[in-house]
Amino acid sequence: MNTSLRRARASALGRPARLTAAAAAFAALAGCDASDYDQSRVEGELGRGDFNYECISPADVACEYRCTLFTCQASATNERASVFPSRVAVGGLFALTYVHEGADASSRYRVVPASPSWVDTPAGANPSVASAAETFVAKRAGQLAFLARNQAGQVADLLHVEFVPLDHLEVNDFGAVTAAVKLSPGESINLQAYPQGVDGRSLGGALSYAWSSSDEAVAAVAVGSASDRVKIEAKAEGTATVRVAVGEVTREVSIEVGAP
Amino acid sequence: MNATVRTLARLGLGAALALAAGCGSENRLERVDFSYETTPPDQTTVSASSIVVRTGQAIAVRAHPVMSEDELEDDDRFELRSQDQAVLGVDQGDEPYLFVIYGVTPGDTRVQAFVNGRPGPTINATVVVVP
Repeated sequence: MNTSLRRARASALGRPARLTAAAAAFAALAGCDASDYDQSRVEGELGRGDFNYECISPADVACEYRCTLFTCQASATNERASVFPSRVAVGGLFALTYVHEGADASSRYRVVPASPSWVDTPAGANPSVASAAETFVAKRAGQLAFLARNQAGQVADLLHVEFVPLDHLEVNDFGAVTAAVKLSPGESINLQAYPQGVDGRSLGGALSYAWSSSDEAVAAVAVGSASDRVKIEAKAEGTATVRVAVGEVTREVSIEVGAP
Repeated sequence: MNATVRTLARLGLGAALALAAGCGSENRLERVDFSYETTPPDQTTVSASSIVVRTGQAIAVRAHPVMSEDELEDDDRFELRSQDQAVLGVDQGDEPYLFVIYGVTPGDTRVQAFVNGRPGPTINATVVVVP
């Protein structure tokens, strides 16, 4: 990788993004392959290689995926994220790998937290991603350094990742932010929840979402393969409130079902 | 024997004892200076006299051993070791004299330098709680 690309690379700590949203959209239009503009990795602070953010659950806003707007990618599992999130939600599940620049394919680096008490490391949480991936759940707010260790135990590189408490959820109908929806009986709409910090910026890390409807006879909730998104089916005329919760943080959407 | 002769004899004996003990010819590690290889996080300092790191945070440093006589040779082995890795982590980098120092849990400890296994000076280290 040349120096200019290094400087331009996106960073977990807010350095300039290498790829703009427009360029990402362009890459998607050009064949649903943004690999030439890979933002799923950031350069380590020693500049020896790259840390990769691995997708281990589609219920991670960082894993919405390269072709979200064009629905060309069915699964977000076993893939790298569309972007290395600048912050990860406390409670969020995520995985990291490290690739040393110039190292051959057999070189393995372990990614370990500087302070193990800041994360849980769920065993077997991620059988589908590369075996070298280390899986973590963020436990507390703050910056945590991750160290990339070679097989001799030496530290080849490091990266700080910021953990941020979940402040609120936004609900999106794959377009605008949604507070209320009007449907006719038989219609349906897909909703997705986005975890955000107090400043309104989205947070990475897979969270566990619980969806419910105040009246399933009016608006029925069907959770998909990812718990952050649901299909709402209008069953009969009336009003229902669809609620999504992550722990104590909740968001409600009013569903009004009326005559067509 | 007059006083002058006795004085010279004492000095000669002292010099011989000093040589026998190796004094004057030992290349001792006097201190370790550091330069930062990564940007220090907030409240992080690493110097010859003290180390302060926040829990969970890390910094890569290059050590510059200052010897009493000659500089270290390529085949000399220089190490830094934390006296309590449960408080402060000190790991060897993938180059000589490159180390990564990180806060594990709040507390105080010391970092000791070694040259070819021989202990050198220690540096006080504190890992502070993230507010």
